[in-house]
Amino acid sequence: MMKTTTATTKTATTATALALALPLALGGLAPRAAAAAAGPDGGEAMLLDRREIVVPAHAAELVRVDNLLGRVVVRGTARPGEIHIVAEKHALSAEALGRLRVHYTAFESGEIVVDTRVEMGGRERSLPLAGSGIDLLLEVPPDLAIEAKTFGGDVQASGLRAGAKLETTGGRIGVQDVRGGVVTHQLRGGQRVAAVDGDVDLDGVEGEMDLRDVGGGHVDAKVVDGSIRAEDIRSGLVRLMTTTGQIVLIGVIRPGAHYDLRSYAGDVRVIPVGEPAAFELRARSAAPLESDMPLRGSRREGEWLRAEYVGRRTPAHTRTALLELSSSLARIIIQPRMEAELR
Amino acid sequence: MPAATTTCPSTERLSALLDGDLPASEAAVVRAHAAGCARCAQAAAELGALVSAARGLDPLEPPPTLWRAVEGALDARAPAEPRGWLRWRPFLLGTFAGAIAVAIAVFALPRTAARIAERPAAATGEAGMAAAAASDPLLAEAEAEFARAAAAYEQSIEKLRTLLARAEQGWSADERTRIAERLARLDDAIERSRDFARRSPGDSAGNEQLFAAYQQKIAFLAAAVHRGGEWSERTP
Repeated sequence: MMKTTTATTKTATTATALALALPLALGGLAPRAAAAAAGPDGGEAMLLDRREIVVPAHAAELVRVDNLLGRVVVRGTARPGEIHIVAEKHALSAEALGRLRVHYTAFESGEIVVDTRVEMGGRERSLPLAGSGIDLLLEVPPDLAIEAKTFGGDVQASGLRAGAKLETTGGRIGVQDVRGGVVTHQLRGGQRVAAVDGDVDLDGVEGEMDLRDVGGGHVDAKVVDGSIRAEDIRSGLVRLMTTTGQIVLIGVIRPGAHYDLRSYAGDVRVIPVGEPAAFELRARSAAPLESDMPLRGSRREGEWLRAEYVGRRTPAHTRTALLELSSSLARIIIQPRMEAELR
Repeated sequence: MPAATTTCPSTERLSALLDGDLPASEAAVVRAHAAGCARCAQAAAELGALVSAARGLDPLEPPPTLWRAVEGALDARAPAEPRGWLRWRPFLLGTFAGAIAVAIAVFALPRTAARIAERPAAATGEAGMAAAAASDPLLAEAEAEFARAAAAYEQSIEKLRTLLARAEQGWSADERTRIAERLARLDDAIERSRDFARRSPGDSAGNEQLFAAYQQKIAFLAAAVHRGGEWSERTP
């Protein structure tokens, strides 16, 4: 039931429309090229081999990309029913180049898997390499869910309409213009997430996190060693947590929303833009709360300070927001800004 | 295993000790016995391994890499495929669209069966991989990449350990003991994963298991640092 074919080196005929655009995106590379380029230090030449193929994806629902050998870029720009794969491999020797492989497998369940391997001891293995590798660019129909994993290479997703799960050990994560849930896992490298309409769950050990223009039900971002900057977050539940870094939240405080911002060793800074909704504040920090907003009813409950902000133009029936801010070793700062001041 | 004595605690009591379910006075008795009894020390070590794998880590979410590690282990046993730079295996999409049971029968079972059938050969292959590790520059590259990642995890753990040492100064002795016991179990899980990874060079599953163990420890340390004195109440 499974048909296995060794792909020809010629781009499939159905690729024509997309193949025209990709060479531009990749710096004018030919559809198939094998060439030598100088190494990074101008010394040893790096051998390059680039292939592209268009595969059918009429019943596909999920594309999973496992590439421990390099970068992964996924763009939701393909026509319905087609996936365009560009694979570029590089190595310092022809022997090493010949041992790098890309596999494409489509299953009846609707899952499509693209994975890379290196031939080793007569078997193909999914392993990261330092001097050789494969970079993958996939153009997929926007309505396919995406799962992508790298080891040291960056992983980027854009233009998707069914969410993305991205995982990397040491690469950077980039998400732009995605509808649907976004889930990430990372050891180090930093994450930038922008223009997402869906739940966002970011997890990292080391590196900065930058979130902008995010809607959906919730944002949950956790990093151990790094700062989190979140701007224009419209979700009802915003949970940002770092152990060593700072947290900065910039944007409108929305009625009924719950903001839970916690840093162990860094400052927690909230910069409300415009007139905030009325909110209840729970704050705990090593230093006294620094607030430029008029707070009422300040009182201590254990190590927590509680207070309220009553919006000047907030209608009486509007739900109160909740700000829970905690910094065990540093400061909590609330500094409202008008939108014009931020520009 | 050495013979049990009439004073040896039951397996259930040892398990309860590892779970922190024994009253402090009883825990001290069992712990003191295990310190001087080879049988109980061994049983406790084995239970500890089970607990850390199955129960001790249950407050934390399964690591995202867990299933992939399992898949990777299966993949490592998959038969070698014919060479080819880009292999294209289009399924007969739509032929059985929506027929999940059929899809499982056609896809999952044959693949699994093929992998299981391949296991004896894979064992030989792993021995070959170990031998190849010293001579294949690409394998050496891969192992170096894994080692760099492991070092990064350990660096993060060390930072958190430093923060935890500061945070726990104000905690009770019981809280510090409980955390130390949990950390010992997590360290044990890491050590076993590291051994597994060392035994199978070129097998990403071993390293993924090790990284999953590191992630568990990092998550636990971060939670402990953040929760501070609330740890005992809020961490199951």
